[in-house]
Amino acid sequence: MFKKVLIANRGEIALRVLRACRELDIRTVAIHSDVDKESLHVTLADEAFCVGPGQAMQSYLNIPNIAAAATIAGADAVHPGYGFLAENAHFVEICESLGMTFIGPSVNAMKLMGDKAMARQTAIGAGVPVLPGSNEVPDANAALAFAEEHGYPMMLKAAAGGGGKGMRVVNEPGQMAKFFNTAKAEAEAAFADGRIYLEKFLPNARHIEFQVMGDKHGNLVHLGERDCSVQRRNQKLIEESPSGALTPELRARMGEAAVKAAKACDYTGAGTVEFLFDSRDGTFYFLEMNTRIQVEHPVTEMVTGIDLVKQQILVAAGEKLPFQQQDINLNGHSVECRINAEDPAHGFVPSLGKINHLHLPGGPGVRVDTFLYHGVTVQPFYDSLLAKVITHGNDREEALARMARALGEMRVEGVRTTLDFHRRFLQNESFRRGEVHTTFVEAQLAQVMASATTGAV
Amino acid sequence: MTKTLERVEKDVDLAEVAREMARLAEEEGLKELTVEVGKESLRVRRAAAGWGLPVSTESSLPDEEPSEEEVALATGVPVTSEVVGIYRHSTRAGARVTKGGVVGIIESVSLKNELRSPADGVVAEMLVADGEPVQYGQVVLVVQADV
Repeated sequence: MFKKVLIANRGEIALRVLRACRELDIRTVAIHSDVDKESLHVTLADEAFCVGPGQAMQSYLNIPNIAAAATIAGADAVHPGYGFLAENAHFVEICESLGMTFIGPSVNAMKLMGDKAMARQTAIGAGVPVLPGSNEVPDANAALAFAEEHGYPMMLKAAAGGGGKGMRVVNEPGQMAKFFNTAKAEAEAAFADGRIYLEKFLPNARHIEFQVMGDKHGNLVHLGERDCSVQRRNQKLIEESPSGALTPELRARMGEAAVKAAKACDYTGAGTVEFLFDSRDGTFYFLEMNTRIQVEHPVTEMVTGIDLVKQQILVAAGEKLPFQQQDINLNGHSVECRINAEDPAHGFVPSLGKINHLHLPGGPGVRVDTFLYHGVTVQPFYDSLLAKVITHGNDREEALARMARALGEMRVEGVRTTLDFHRRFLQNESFRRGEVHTTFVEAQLAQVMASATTGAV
Repeated sequence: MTKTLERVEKDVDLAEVAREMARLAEEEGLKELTVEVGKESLRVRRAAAGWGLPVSTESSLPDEEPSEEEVALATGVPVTSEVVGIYRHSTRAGARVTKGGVVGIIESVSLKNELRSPADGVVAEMLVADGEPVQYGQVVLVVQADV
């Protein structure tokens, strides 16, 4: 087992990893930027290194400084969290060359699934259904030709993509040239890789993803699904497990497909296979595989009772999975709301400032993963996620009632947040009935914003 | 631009004032800031490496005299590390240094990064022992610049 893990991240996920390490009796090394020196992940770690200024490119993405910190500290493993270097194959190679274990998949699996176009081919090869789609399209004209052949709407996607960057829905030919260029520019800015491909877009589909976990001894299981259909511009807002749209039979089929896709790249560690699911006819299509722990992993932990981050560390250290597929059961229902420092009244623009009042909810079935404390400053350089509020209940109704109750208790002042948006959204009739799809929020946004909030107590 | 200090405490902690001035100057995007009170004046100037302010002042109690480090920082030019690594001395306290001259090496995983003096002057204080790790932004030594 590892003795010391460097956590190459910040915010709530750095804390999440730190907690898993503590429980496994592993010492922790935090890294931070100079504006984050008073962050909770720094305070709570056994050691901490400042690796650069506020800008992530020079700190949390500064591979030479992070590698030096890991070496000086004598870390024997590195946990990347999500985002930043979590899917950077070069960083994995650096860690390995320094004799440190990267807590994640192999370089090969990461490269294969990190390239979305190659991942598609891998899924096809494994017999997993995919949407009609193209190979890399060099320009808007080639994209137009493909769309003419296969019909609109089409989704432009970045081959190196993730996090909704470099993605555009094209509804008619007139939009193609403009959207192709914006998607390409966005992809170049976000991933330094402007390759774009096309995929048929299903406007009323659900986003359903399967958690998988593999060890280094050839064992690989799925841990059920997460329904992440409540999104805004491809940014997830609410996630739940299980999905109300799946029957046990469909779950088994999709889970099997997820395992096949993961096995096709000899996957080890925690990963997520994303599908689009058409609830009208029960068809599903492989979208991509994320080769990291995900933001929304807690809902899976709540229903399976399995600590995914600890398990991730254990398999990275070479241990065998302590469970098989038939041991995995989904108990009850779990929901997660992402509380972001954004202003929903003004197009969800990021909000910055010092937290001058904070009250976190508690009570039965409530979990909060956050780096917030009274007096912390929300920095401009990073992701706007402040807190994840996760509830668990015997069924969806109880989980949602607990969420409404928890968000009603919660107070975050000093920055604008999406807290009130979530309170209102939970009242939405269609959402309560479980009738959601990936463009649902955008369609309902005006109505949700206009509705009176009844969540606050 | 003129900024008025509304209230000046009698027992001024110079290091504290210098830090506050540096913060203000950074906010306003200035390279240099001078505060004049009667005949006294205090000037802070941004070094190539940044302001290089001390990361902690745990030794300073409110009524205490400023420590040597703080005085050195308030009047000298801090030399800060831009990288994480092991500091190897190539100068010592009291030695003369020239602007751009190497005052140490910071060894990271595969690179030896030269640390250079931002001014002509004398090394006022070495703050990191030879062979000790340094972090980004850490003040490694202080140079008393020639007037």
